[in-house]
Amino acid sequence: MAKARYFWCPLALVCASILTTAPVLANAYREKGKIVEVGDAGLSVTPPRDWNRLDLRPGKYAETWTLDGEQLNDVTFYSGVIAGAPIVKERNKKHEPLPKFRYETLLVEIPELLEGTYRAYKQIGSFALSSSKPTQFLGHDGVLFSYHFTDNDGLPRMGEARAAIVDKKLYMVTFDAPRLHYFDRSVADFRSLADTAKLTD
Amino acid sequence: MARLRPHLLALACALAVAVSPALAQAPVATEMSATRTGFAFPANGEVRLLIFRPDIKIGETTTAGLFQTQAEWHALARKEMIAALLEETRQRGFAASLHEEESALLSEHRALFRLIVSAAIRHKLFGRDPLPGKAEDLDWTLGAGMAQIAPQSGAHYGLFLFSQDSFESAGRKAAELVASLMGAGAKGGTHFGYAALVDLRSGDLLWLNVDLKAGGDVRTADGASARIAQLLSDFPGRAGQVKP
Repeated sequence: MAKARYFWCPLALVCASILTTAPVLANAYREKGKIVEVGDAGLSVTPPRDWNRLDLRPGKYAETWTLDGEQLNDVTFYSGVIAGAPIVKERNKKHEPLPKFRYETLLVEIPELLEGTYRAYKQIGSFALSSSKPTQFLGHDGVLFSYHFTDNDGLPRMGEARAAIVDKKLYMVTFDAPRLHYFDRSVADFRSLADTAKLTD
Repeated sequence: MARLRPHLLALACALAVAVSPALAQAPVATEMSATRTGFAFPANGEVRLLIFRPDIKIGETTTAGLFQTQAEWHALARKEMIAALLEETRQRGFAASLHEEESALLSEHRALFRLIVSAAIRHKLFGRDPLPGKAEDLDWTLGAGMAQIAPQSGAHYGLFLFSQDSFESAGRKAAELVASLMGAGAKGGTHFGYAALVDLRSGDLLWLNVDLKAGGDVRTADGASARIAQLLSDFPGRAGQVKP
């Protein structure tokens, strides 16, 4: 499975990539009703509708699912992030360091971890937390929060996430989509998918 | 005023790799189009087409391989491509008009549109990154918010166009000549674009044509006409009408 991804690349690079002899990617089908493991830290979901898992992953602990294409309605699972690790792969540890999940990270600080990651990784200047409240996630105390941001392509986006810390590891699922049309159209699909998330031994 | 564009530099590098003889072993399709299943223009009556100002990026590749936009070329290209677009669509029997106003709402829809086209190129048109759980159809939309952009126009359809051209500076050409004499692959500038038709009531993407190696010098009337004809080559026709 590929470890890098297009992540916020402009259209020009997408076009250029077509002209190269890069291999065809093998995005995976996630079929409605079939339980599937996400990552290798015991997280599983049973999708209530068909989804696509993108072959290109944002990092060791993360994988992204979509309905219509990357960035249009992205569900990203962060599964079992250990203390000291960033939630996505650092492109340049020296010059573009990412915030790390830590042993002492509290649930209420998870939105800040995501914000810091987005600001550094996507190089955006606009990110705001819309709401944050306690919830149950994976059978544990967790946090449910929503946010909005504008990527460096100038397109305003909205997001929602659930997170929990289990056995000193971070588990989180996020949904990001353009505020025009796509967020409202697919947020219910995200919520019903996240509702099925479970941790197995 | 010339301005450096980092992503265009990256594009130039990627295209340089793409046209390298060592890597370009297999032919790669450079022009693809798709039409939404079941779409056809109405056979009778006037069909109003709203043309959005083309999204044009044009400039020069310096000796160092950096892309610099050229404002004068941009103005020329915009003028010639708009004229060519209006002429071409009117010849095809459409009541075409140009949408001049650039509102914040349109700007946001343009950004979403670029994302959708990027998804269609990756996941549908060229078959390099397919989504197994998504139907084969050209099934993307901008949403019903498109209806708020120009309701007074009375147009049912909107036409978007993107064009990117990078011409080589004299220094760049000289450097490539030297490189070719030393056995390295030489290349010309990069030119690509797309045209897309959108239903202005639903926001649905109806037709898309992408050309990764476009022709025609868009700074001239003849070149712009050639480029527009190329980008609209598979444009859905009206029943009983012949393409110009």
